[in-house]
Amino acid sequence: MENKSKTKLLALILFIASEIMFFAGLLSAYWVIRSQIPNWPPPGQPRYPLEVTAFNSIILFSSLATLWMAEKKLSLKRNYLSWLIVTVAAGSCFLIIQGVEWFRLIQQGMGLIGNVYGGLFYVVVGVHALHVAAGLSVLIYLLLKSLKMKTAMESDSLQLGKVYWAFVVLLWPFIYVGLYVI
Amino acid sequence: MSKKQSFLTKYIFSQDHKVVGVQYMILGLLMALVGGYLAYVFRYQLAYPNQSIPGYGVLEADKYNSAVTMHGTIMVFWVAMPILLSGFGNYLLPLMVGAKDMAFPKLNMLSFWVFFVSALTLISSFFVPEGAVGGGWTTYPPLMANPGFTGVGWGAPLWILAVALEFASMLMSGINFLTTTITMRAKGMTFFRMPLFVWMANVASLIFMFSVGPLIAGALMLLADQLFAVGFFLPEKGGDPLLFQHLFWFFGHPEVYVLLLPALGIVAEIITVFSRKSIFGYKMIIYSVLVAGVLSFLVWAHHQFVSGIDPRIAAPFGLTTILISVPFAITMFAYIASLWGGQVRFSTAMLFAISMIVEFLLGGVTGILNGATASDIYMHDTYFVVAHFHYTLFPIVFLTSFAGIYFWFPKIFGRFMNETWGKIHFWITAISANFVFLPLFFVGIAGNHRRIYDPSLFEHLKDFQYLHVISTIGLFVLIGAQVPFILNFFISMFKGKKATENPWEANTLEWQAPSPPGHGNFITDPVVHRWPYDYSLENTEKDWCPQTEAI
Repeated sequence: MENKSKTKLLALILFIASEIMFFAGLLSAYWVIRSQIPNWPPPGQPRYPLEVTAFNSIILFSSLATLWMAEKKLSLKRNYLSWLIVTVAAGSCFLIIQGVEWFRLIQQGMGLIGNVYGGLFYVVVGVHALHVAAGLSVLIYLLLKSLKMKTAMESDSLQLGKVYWAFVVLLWPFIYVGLYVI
Repeated sequence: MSKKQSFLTKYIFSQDHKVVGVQYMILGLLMALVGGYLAYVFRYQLAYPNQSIPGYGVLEADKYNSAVTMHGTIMVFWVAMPILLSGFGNYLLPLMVGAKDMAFPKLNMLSFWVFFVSALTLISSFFVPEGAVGGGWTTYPPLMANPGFTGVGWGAPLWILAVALEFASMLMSGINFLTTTITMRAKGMTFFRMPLFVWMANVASLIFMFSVGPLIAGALMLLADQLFAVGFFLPEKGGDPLLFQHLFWFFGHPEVYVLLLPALGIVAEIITVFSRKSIFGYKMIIYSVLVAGVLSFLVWAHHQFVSGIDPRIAAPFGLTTILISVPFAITMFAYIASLWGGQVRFSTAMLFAISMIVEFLLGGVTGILNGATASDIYMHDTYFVVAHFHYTLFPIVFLTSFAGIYFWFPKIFGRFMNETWGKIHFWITAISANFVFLPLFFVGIAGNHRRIYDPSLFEHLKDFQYLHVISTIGLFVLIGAQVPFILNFFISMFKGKKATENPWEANTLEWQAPSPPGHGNFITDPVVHRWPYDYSLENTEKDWCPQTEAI
């Protein structure tokens, strides 16, 4: 069993490696297009929401910390569920705030059709949001499973969930700094 | 297995790596028929312009574009990848490292069925309004990003969806290969005792996994261009068409090695067995391939020398392109040295393996002319390039697959394929292939652009029309030569001569398992004592020593 979980971890790391290359492609595409457009943001377009997203980034980062706490509590055989619930709540919060921001941007006239500036935002941030949603579903699945079993779950599955979540969270600064800040 | 399996779980939704491997091979061979049919259709048009094609009718210009595009797409993604990497890889890799199955059998089954759906998606694009995509297999924008062009309406998004599904499937396979190799090797199977095919399949998987991401990113943006008219790749909207070419070839060129490496692995296994000699420079081949794997990420822009990239970028890419031929030249020399002085047994599999080396060398050597910027600017997008990559890909995909099929058929089905018909198949295939592709070098140097629908419309090409005719007649023969193969394949499956465990007297572990191996592969867990290439040792009775034999 010990070996099987190591194999799973290896598989996950390989998958994440190919995901990193995917985001590297996406972000370099962003830089190539952006470097060719003199006015950024183009006239009449809203700025990408810098401040709200800074706050949102803090929420995302704290979710990684709480997940780390959950794992630690589990290894000490203490109550880890509350930490896991906080993590799921923080992750959902991040997604909801992102969604609200999207609606605001659309209302301010940042569309997709013929708009490379808007398109880049929606594609890069949208793809990341999908990854957050995927990671979140894994965490919710683990949470529901351990609520149902009423016994502590195996630390291996939580570790896999954590590694993927760490990838999703640690990816975010590259997107935040690249798109919003600079 | 104590549980009795129904037909459905044994042959259709099987988690056995061997069944999955055979499923990949058979679906790949079926797709090859589609790809071959398309080649027949557009080659007929090129040799006899605007005439009615038997079995098709008159080929319109836009359908010509679709046929060429889909031929390339199918042959690379739905024939070469599934047969060479997923087919042989799935079947052989666990057996060769001495594992009972893949690390993730369910994921393996899923990968095949995702692949199956991707094939259906691609085929369905022939039947949608405006037909299959016609922008070339490289799907360059702005052609592919603008709904005004051929097949962009329905065909293009379907193409992207099919390719994305196919890549998801290959990603699952690749993860399975690497985890299986790293964690499930038999006792004593160190990394440097693994057969070359296992090395090659793993390096190929790594190359694929690290290169595919940027293409998916590009494809996603292209899809957004097609569906929402964003304009990422349309200059008039602030986008950049060159960007897509970079993203495409960042994957597209490593992809060449994703196909080449498993093929080199298959050829290495076959030539050592049939020359009764150990492979020459085993570690050197492995290190060369690792170097080539790294270099393969640094050559992509040589596809874009005439696309308007900065000459200061073109020069280093020309250099890396010439450089990457060095590790493969080393590998090729090692193979030739392995043949040298051996007691060569000319079985059908061996003939195909040797012909692969010979014809691939022609393809490799002509690649130098495309890699050098100066000559490439003249050759670019002519039939010279088409001839070049068919001289690499035809040996990689077809000659190698045939070699592998004739070689491992006794293991897979427990029966031999007929050798006489095999040799007839070999000679006609190997010779006619040269008639198909050799004339194209000359047409290309004469200035025939590769995407011309009707060469007879151009004054300067009129004198070279006979070369197109030779090429097309060669193709008729080549396709005809596959009839004995198909018959041989299916008849031998049921009626062929029965094979023993180790009919070719080979060393690798798959030959220690029964023919065909049951679910779980080995009767007793193998223990490995030596590397796989101990042939014709001194002071031994037989001229081979299986890996399980103690020293």
